[in-house]
Amino acid sequence: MTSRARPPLAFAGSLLLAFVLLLPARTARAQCCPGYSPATACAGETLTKSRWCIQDTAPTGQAALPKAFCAYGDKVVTTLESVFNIKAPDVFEFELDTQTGGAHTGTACGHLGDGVAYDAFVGKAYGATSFWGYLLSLHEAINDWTGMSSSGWPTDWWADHQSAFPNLMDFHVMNTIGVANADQNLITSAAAQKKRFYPGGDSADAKVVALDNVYLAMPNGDGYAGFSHLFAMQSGMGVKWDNLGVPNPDVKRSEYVAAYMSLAMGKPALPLLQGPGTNGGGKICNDTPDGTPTDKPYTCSEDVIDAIANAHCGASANGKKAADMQALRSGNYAAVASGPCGATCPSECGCSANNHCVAAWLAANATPTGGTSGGGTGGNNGGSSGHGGSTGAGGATATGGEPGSTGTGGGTSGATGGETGGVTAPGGQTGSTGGTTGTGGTIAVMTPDASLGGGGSTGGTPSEVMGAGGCACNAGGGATSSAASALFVAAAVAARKRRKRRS
Amino acid sequence: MIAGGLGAARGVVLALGALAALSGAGCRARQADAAAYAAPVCGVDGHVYDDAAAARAAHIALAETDRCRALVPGWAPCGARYCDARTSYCEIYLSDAPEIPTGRACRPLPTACGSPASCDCLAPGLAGRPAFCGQIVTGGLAALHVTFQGVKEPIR
Repeated sequence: MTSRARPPLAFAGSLLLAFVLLLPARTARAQCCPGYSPATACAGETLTKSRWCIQDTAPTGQAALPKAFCAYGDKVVTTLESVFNIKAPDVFEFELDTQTGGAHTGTACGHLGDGVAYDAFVGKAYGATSFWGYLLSLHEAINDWTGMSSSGWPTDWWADHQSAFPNLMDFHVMNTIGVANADQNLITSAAAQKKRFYPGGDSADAKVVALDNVYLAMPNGDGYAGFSHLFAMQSGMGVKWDNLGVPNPDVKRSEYVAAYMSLAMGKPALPLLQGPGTNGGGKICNDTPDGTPTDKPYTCSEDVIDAIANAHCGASANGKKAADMQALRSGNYAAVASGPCGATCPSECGCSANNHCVAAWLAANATPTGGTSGGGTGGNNGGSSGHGGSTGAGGATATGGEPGSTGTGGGTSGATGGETGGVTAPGGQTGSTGGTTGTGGTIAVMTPDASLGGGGSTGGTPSEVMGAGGCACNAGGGATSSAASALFVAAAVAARKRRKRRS
Repeated sequence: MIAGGLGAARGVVLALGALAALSGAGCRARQADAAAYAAPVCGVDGHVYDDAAAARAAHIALAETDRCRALVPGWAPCGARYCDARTSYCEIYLSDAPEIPTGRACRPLPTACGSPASCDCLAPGLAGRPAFCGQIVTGGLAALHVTFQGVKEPIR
């Protein structure tokens, strides 16, 4: 039999058949777990990310779910997909349970979702209608996503009964959705939830405040983007906390998490975690008992955190070689070889004086790109915290930073370009003229303190003649208050000497 | 075993129970009131047992999570155990880590609560502690739960 074109009618019939055959599967995916029925309140809504299901034994029947929750579910899922960088593998099922009380991750039949007691969605608490319904359905969803990103988050501070991260995200996500929807009740819920964990609240917790300080210290103050970056880096490198070869909780486990948090921040997170910081935030990684007798307190080491962050940078810069990845993932960060600056050095890292790809806050020198004059403007203001000057482009007039705190920043040096700042020195002085053959500036790194000072300006201005240089790898705050003086003066002297020689 | 299980297993058990009842032989449904049970427990197999001894006899460990979804009239599932709705409520401390199970325990109702108890009567005992109080459906007398979120479970 020869083949021939299929008649249009037959083709249409095939399509119809395929549709009918596929229909049961599609319907199954859209169904609630056995014993649960779709919430009729959401019948008219176009929900693409979630569904609401009410257990058939609910005494209040379909009245258990206010209509306002229908769209809330989709927005929760969308927000968490963004924050965690993880798409929901299926429609997320929010269940209203009659028998379990409280709340839980997972559903009655293994669907992706969570369950909350049916009567959490009515009544008022903390001045907000349906407070517990909004909170618990979101809170358990956050736990679902946290689990999808990695198991084994530190149980002494990230997630346990009194969990800093999900409690932090609760009020931020509620507020975001509330503002987006102009939903004053949800905004009130968010404010109430935040107040619970801040000093004076009924569940006051310095760890939640500490993570909120971290949230606010993320680049551009964008905590969502910052934590999203954290999750993306961690999952992108295949790092799973449970594969580190240590128990939970454990100092190394926390140092790994702190390292990735710092990479996301672009500066050390440990001071904010340990505190005391703004609003009393802290008590993480600083030898504070977590209340569980079997959990031994510990103090995290910034040196170890730096080394882990450098290992992340090195492994990336080296093209994610199997041996490096294995070492990083198994907790043997010290065995990861350092990698070069360049295209493979990821954005969260910078360049060391030796041209190694390192954590941004440890970067000292840009890749020398040459310039006819070095030097640059030191940071204007050391600020009370933060990092040294960021883009240390080579520049001509090296203006020292103004007095700041104990910054170790160095400015852009001239002649040889890219010297490391790093001297704890008094506030900057007026620098002198930059060099002529400088090859770029450096990064000024200040010792961060716990406060949230914005720090100074960027660490360099263009030179009088194409001063390029500079490592555009640290967009941190506080700039080059101190070392600016010594380095800039030295650079200027060297430059003058070269000019004399040329002339 | 009273009845129960998850999904299809529960259906099979119930169907067999119904057949047995019709034939007048084999397992019989227990009376649908709290007094009929001593202290039902939930097994890791998803079945409800009359008490811990019955589960032990069946070589079944108790389930700490919400495995049992069969209604036991007058008894509220509360972790591995069931709380007598007449005299106790289920106290829940939510956990956010899989490594740390949600804490659930039956606590005695204040005598002032009467029957049926309401969340209002529990409020004074909470002394301002943040908690969500609600009902648990049992198929008989409804029970209460008091759920703590974001609060460390006290060591007892």
